[in-house]
Amino acid sequence: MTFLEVYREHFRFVWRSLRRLGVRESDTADAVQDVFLVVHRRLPEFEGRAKMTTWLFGICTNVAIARRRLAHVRREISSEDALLPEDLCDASTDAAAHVERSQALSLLDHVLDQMSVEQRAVFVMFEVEEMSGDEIAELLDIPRGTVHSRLRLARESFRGSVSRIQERERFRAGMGAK
Amino acid sequence: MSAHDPKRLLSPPSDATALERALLRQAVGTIDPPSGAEDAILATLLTRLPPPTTPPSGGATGSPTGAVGAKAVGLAGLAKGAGALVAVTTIAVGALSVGRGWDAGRAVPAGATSAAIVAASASSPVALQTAPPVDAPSTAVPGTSSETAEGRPTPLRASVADRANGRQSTTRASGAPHALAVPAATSATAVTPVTASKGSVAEPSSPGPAYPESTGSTATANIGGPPNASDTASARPLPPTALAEEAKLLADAQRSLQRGDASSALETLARARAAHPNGMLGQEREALTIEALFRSGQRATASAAAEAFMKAHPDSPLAARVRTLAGH
Repeated sequence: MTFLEVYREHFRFVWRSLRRLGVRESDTADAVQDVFLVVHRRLPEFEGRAKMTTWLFGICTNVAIARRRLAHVRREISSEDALLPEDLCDASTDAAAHVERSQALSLLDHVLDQMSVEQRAVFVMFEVEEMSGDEIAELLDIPRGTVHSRLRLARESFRGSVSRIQERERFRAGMGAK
Repeated sequence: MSAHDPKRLLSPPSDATALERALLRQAVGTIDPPSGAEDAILATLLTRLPPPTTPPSGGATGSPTGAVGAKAVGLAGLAKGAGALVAVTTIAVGALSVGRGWDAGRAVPAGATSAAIVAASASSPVALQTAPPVDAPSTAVPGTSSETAEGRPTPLRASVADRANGRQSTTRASGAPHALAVPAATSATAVTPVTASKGSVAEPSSPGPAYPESTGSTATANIGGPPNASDTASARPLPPTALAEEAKLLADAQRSLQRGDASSALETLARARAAHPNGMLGQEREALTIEALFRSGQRATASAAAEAFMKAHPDSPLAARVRTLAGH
């Protein structure tokens, strides 16, 4: 395949993979470029021993890890600033709802950032995209047991982070009541 | 979900808390690219690719189904100025979209892009700003040693002038994410709302100064961000590149086809083939050639060319279009 064919066929996959791996939406366009610059350079060496998507996902993972290290793409809210959006479950379509949704997404990013990118990818694919363990294993070219192991660790991280946020909110609410 | 998988947290029987469920629901639908992102990112990406390492062989010149640039993925001399971005944008929204559903009655291919083209009110044609330099990511490919991505960081917004001068600008407009500005083809370029639908593109100029020095508007292909007038103040127009010329020839051929002038289209495509035998847009050129051959009544030649194309590029996104043309 030519570079342009790879781009056309897999652009959406690369974008989604980067988002799964925790690249911020506002940074994803730049990260996509990073991925395809590597693809452009390495494509002649791609021999088809692995699936193209597996190869691309590996590149996406490395790009996501690198970007995660960069200070300017670190999350915009720290754990201390992560506020629990009020009425998160009942967001409507008005402006306030947009703000709440934005807050919720920031909070979600904060929670997911506590995971490794590998765990996060498995978590998002399984819990959000509803892919099966076998599908994830095939995509990532890893054993199904590894998928389940990463998912378990990711869930522990997710639930632990959410629990800490709730505890903090309760504490703050208690302080406010005094 | 297989029988081996655990219950999902969002499944009703799970023991997820209300907050956990609410957070996960926020993530649903947030990982897809926005409309127009594919074309706009490609436009910028192409300007960052290194030039080809092997000189053009020219071996396929003269053949309707000749070289389609299978390995010609570099851009010779591309980052030389504003013309490149015009060409690349044209490519992104036009020529490269051959396989996505042409509509000969439209000014541009249907479905070519949904990248919004907006006008900015600057007196100088181009200026983009790039993100501050960042560390090049470690981009080890599975099974290989770790390596560094291309020397530049990852700006979707990049100063054309700075590209030309081989340096980066140092500022990034706040609050204007990922806008890609390209110079308007002429000072009369139509102003299209930012919400432009598919098919709204900035066409390359017809003859004349493609990149006016001091007048004219600036069109901005914008992904989800407003145009920023301050982005359009400093660059200088530079000569078109090989890619710009190739893209313009294809655009000319396409317009000829839309006018029903297949003979003229074939002449233009032959010029493109001769001038850019290993051009970046080889497949697009051959697909246009096949269509022009069919429309000019040269069905036998067209069918043979289509067969050759599909054999050479069975997985190409253009193959479906060629297959349709050939009546397969």
